[in-house]
Amino acid sequence: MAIQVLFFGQLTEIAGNAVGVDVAATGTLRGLEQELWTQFPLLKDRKYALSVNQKIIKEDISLADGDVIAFLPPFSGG
Amino acid sequence: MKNIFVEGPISTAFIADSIQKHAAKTSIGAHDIFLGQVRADIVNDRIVSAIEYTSYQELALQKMQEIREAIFEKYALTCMHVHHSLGEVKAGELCLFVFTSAPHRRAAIDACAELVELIKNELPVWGKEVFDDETHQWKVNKEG
Repeated sequence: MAIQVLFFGQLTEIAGNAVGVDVAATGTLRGLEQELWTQFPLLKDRKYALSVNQKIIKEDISLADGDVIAFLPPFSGG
Repeated sequence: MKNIFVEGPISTAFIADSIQKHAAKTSIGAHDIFLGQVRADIVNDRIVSAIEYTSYQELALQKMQEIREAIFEKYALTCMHVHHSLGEVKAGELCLFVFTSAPHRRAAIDACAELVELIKNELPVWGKEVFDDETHQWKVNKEG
């Protein structure tokens, strides 16, 4: 299934703005995260939150086709 | 959903106009305003010349809606307005405008202060501090 992954802030310097990832039907959020660590090793040591379809998710969840995941480094607005 | 984002700096004319528009709302007795301005910090002899703001807009606007509802629930406000810059804002220019209005001052002042903290801590917005030698660092929000 196709998952879209977005990166923001300083993480764009490691991974670009977005990648499409093909994940097995049984794929989970943390599984995808590990896959991306392999693809972008510098990501692993960074601080970030994850969102799935614009909701911040702290635990592991199953992914569905078309989900949009975002890597969100610490916010620095204002 | 209300869009809080404006491209580039927030102009003082826009702020003056926003204040003027409230003359028609005669139940208001107090306004409070917070203005965020880009500071020319000096880091290792380099001077911050601008901040470039980016956001995850869909998530930010959704989050802002939740914050708005929570603030209206907590304080007796007549209205509130939030405007945040995206893109480049040069040192000395304004990047955040928070405006609360209420019948009485306490609600306006407390709501404005709390809003500024929530905006800084909870909205997915990122600032890239660009130095005068064209290098950059990513802004980190400090307490207070």
